[in-house]
Amino acid sequence: MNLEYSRGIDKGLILCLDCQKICQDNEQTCPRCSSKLGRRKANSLSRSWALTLAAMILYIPANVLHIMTVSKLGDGKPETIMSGIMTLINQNMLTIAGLVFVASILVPLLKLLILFWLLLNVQLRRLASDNQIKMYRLIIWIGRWSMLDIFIISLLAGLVQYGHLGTVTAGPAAYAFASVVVLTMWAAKSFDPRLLWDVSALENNKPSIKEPDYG
Amino acid sequence: MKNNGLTGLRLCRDCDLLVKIPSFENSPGWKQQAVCPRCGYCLEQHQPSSVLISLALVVTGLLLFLPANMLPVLSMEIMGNVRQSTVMVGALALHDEGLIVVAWLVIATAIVIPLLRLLILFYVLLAVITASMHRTAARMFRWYTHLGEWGMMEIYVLSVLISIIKLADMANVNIGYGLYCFVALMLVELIISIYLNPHALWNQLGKNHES
Ligand SMILES: [Zn+2]
Ligand SMILES: [Zn+2]
Repeated sequence: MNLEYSRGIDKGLILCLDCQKICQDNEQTCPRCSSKLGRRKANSLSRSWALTLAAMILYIPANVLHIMTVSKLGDGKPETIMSGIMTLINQNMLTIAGLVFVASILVPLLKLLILFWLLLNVQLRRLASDNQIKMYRLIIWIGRWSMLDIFIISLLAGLVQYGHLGTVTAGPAAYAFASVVVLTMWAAKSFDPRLLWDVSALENNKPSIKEPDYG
Repeated sequence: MKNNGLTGLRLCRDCDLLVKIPSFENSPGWKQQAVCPRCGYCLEQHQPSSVLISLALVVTGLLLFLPANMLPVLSMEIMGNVRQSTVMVGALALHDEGLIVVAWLVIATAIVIPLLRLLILFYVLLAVITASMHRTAARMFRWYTHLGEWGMMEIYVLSVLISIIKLADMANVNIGYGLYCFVALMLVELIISIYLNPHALWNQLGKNHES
């Protein structure tokens, strides 16, 4: 039996992405969990492109506009994400500054670049490599952590309400930033990593395969 | 069971490779994995987990839910003025400032989705134990996985810790009992996600309505 080294799509089999059941490709819905079946995720490419580009555009106001205003004794000081980090550095809170920098600036940027690169790879029919699938898994895993700043703002805004003694209010960049987080998570979810490998199946009918590793 | 000779076969989720995986029955090691030879995706994990223990974990989580969300997470004091905040209060502060969608996002990811996932799991495990209602349970169990990445309790806990340090130079900040419950709830969710074997649950849900 030489079933091991072929793709499901060539054998008329579809994986149910919700419950991992192997279904026949003449079935419309999964017999076990009744979710919709498709050979690949529906409109994966156009959907991820649209979401990624929208997130890229919103990344700009997220970083340029004010994310919150901290006022002490009456005078308010609007902060952007970056100036908030600079304040932390000036107060010598380097660890937190680093954490916020990674979660709020680096991770969203990295996600956008990786999504863009993955989509470009599929579009240009570049062969799948280990790097691509590793990058895909990386953005799926780290994407959610960008919510950190939104949670911090909600906590500060809820706590620091002392009238003229001190208040924290959220700014418009919070909208843009939350949208970037949601859109990139959605884009990564819409992207179908199997498209990367489909390209390699076209170029080379026999993908090089090692013995399965059960370790 | 209509199996069409597909026993022991898996389709890789990330690269669509058809792989034959070994039976784990003879290998006693916990957390042994069958990995896709082409892309490294974990096709199946040997993970004998008991439905009753899972149910006990879910009930623990549900019991922790109310105190975690009703009791104050943080309290803060400036010149004798004490303010306490729960998760909800923070979200409502955003709501009052006009950031309505962002407020709902916080409520959804930190409160509603974690609760929803526990309730779904409770229903699914009950369905498996009582061997009934499998079709509804299967529909609901799909949402459990879909909602997985949108429940963000651990991120919320980290944000609380950062807020404490950020506020420390402004005022006296104290940790409330709510935070302890919240952290415990987060740990329960973490243990469930490690302990639960969705493959086995799906098999049990599938068994009955096929026969
Ligand atoms: Zn299914
Ligand atoms: Zn694979």
